[in-house]
Amino acid sequence: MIPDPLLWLLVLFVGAGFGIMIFFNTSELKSKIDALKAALSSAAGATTSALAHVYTGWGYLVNLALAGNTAAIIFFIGFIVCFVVLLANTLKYKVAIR
Amino acid sequence: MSGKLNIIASITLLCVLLLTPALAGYIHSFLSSLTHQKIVSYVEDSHLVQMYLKWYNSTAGTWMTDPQDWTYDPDEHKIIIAAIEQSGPTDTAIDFYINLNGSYFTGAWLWDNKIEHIKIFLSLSTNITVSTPLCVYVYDDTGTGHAREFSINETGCDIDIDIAINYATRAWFASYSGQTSGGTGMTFMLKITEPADLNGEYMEMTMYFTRTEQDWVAGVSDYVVASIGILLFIAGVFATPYVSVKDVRKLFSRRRR
Repeated sequence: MIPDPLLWLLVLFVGAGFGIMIFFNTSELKSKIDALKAALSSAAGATTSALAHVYTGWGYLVNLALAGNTAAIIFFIGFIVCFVVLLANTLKYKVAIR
Repeated sequence: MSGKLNIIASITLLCVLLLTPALAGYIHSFLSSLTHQKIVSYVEDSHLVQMYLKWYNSTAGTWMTDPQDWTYDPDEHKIIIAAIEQSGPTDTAIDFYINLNGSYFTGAWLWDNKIEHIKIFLSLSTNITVSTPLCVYVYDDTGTGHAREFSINETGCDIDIDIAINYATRAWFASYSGQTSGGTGMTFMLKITEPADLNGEYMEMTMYFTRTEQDWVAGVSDYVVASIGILLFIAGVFATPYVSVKDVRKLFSRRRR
């Protein structure tokens, strides 16, 4: 079980990670302005993620998976496979879906 | 074009992650609302560890705790406090605590039994006002309490409280399977804002936990979450350069021949 404060941190990190991923899917870091945009994307992702957690409680799915709930485990296996494939495609071929 | 596709793919994946519990909960709540609720368990005499009033004595500047004595009517499932004991009036609110035995009730028990509603019926010899927040405390393995707050605003001598527990809240409860050193696994705190003094008043209480009668409806959240996971897995496989819809079509057309 992940304690609530740590879960909130995880929720923020996941959102921030997605924010950065969305930024790098369209741009590269060429200037300080781009770095600022990346930081803003990350902050927007973290905020969206935290607000969604308040509304839907999606972070508790992590706790359910850790507690051995089969449905939550299947969900995260699917999610991680999808995430890794999209990220690998983006990095290797510059396109998310081949 | 590829940039736009990348953004859409990333945002879709993020949305799926963030909205899955809401979707599972919505479908479950909708189907559950169409079916009858069955009582999973009443709170009985053996399930109670302690009941007490806690109130602030502003003259002494201290919190007062008044434990209550009760009897139990097993036929009517009623917990009866013949005369509430309160050692003095308060000028704030009275917190009424109900501690349930951790051998029977914990946060994880709510998840395992797919509890959707907790019902509390109070009957008193005087009018009371129960106000927000109504707190449900559950305990982790170290015995530390964690609370969920619910809104309530009821006045009268018969108070009917319905605590609706949605999918995300039940998932939150699932993590807490511990109990205090005193054996309490779940605590309810009702905030009584009126009257200031309940001393000598009569109280009857019935408390029970319900879920939908249909087993398949009770499990529908799990099916939704798992199905989304399987769809994501398939989407991930098709997003690789190694599998495409064309390949699958070819495979099936060869089989037909």
